[in-house]
Amino acid sequence: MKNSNSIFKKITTIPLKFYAGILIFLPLLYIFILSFFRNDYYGGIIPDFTFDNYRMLIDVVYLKVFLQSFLIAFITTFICICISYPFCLIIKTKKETTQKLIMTFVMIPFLTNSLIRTYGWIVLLRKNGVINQFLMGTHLISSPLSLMYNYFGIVIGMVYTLLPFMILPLNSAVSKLDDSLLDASKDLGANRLQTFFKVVVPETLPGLFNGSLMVFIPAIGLFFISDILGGGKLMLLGNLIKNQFLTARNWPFGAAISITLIIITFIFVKLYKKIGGKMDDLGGGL
Amino acid sequence: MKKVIVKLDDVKKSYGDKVIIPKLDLDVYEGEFLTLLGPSGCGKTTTLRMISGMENVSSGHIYLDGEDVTNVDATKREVNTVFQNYALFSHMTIEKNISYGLKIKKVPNDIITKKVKEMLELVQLQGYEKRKPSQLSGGEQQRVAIARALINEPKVLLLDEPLSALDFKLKKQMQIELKQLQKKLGITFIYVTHNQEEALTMSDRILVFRGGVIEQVGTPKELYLHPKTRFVADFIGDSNIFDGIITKISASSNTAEVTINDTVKAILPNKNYQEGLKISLMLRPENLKLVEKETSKNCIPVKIKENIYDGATSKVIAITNFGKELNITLDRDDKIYPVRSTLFVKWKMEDAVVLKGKEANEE
Repeated sequence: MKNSNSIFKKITTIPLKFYAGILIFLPLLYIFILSFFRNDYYGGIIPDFTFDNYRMLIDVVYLKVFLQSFLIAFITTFICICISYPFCLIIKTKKETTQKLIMTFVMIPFLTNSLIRTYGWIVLLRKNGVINQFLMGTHLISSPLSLMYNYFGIVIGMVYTLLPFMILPLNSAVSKLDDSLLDASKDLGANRLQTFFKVVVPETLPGLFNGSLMVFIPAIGLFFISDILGGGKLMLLGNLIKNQFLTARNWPFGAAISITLIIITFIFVKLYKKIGGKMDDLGGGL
Repeated sequence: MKKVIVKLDDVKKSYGDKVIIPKLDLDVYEGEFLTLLGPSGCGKTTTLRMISGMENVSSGHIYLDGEDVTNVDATKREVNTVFQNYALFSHMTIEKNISYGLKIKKVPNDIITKKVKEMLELVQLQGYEKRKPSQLSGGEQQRVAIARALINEPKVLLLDEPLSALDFKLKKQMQIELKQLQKKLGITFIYVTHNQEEALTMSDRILVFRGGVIEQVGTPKELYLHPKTRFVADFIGDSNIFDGIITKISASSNTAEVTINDTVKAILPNKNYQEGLKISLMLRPENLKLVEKETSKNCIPVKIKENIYDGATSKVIAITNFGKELNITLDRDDKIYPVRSTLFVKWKMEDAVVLKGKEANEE
């Protein structure tokens, strides 16, 4: 019985293995091998084994890109946490139907292409955009604020795009949080802030890590937001990789950066696991 | 004169249009074990939460130790609660859980350590300091919850159905432990439960709630032996209730005759009844006796429907000739009759409890 069951399992998971093998593993292997080759002046690839691509990465220019990317990803994650916690705690107090409705509104933007939604922000943020016009119309400011083509614009775009990835796991943790724990904390004399830091955060830590990972990792790689709202002036890791492949046509170098990014991501996932996060919560088993 | 530690004065609670508690006046005395008993949704937990400050009162006042705490925040009230599902902080060790309240109050560490040790001794959990709540059994978790509340030296300890999640045997054991703990500490306990057996076992005084209104207050014995209403009689212990009408008053023997279902005549001690008064007659299962021969009064013909043996006692379910099911508890040496035997059930005049008349018409 057990044997036939395992055969059944093997057969039914063939499409999945096929998918993972052909569409994920092989391309990754290709990128990995590519990262040890050289390119010629016309964008071609010369199969010479070399570490040059990785050596090139240890350069102030590229280290700055790494640093900048991590900084933006970090700020994005932090802002997402600051928005999501109050959000989740407030909807927790609402009726179940209201909760479902609000969560649907969180999900609805997913139905539209994120590139188009990012373009939408230009209308709001540009020099003569809606926000500046409003602020100037009400005489709160005299000259338009630069809300985009800088860090600010990129962070807004990132937070906007990635916020649902923080809200969803955090909300599942916060909604499971027993109200009586909050009552108990209050009963024992803790004010709201104390309860938040001593009870709510530690009790929902898995959700928080989960959300942070789901925001932080894409935030390192997203390139179109910095292209559109950063005006291409700020180089993030995602942009760097894209440029190497599409503009500079240096595929091996682009591959080397990608592999480095994958390794860093892996380290974060490992860290997450070490702190006690479950891979299941991220929607996959590693 | 006993000192009143908690006083509820004309308290009203409503959510929007929905009135939970129309009017409640209650004195809780220092050092007593008071139980708020009632079916779910009767307002007993709401009452507890109003005392703890988790819920605001809609109108009225709450006094704690003579002080008006109606508008005092829950964090500042000198009461603590033991919650139904323990509500332990799962990420903290037992030690951290118990010391939580003192940490918040910024009590020096050496005092906290000492008091945590005392508390663990009190609830017999020495050596559990570094464990996590998930490593403890339900009963142990419950004790941690009690220790966590008691370490703050509350004037009143509020317990919200704390034993409902435990299994039968553990529940029995914890009932005794709780009662002993309360006696030892002399702290006022206000205990909420829907379990009448729990209430009878532990309480000094029981307050029976029904639809946000106090139905009856009294010691367990008073409530069991002299329930005032049909609801109390029904809720506390098993009962057999007959509806009847006073048909004859006999001045010479100072008795009243009740007619049940137009046929059965029962005799009661007369307490200023009047002919034609509708009453309910309540008889506890242990006061009913099965006999083979009809007696002249307080006797109803029955047919045995079922014999139930539960170890300590034997119970009989019998049906009267007018279709009412009766619960009867047999003594150890009583004869057990086969099912469908036709017998008579009789009782002593003074064992019958007369319930408030207006309730008789309710069902």
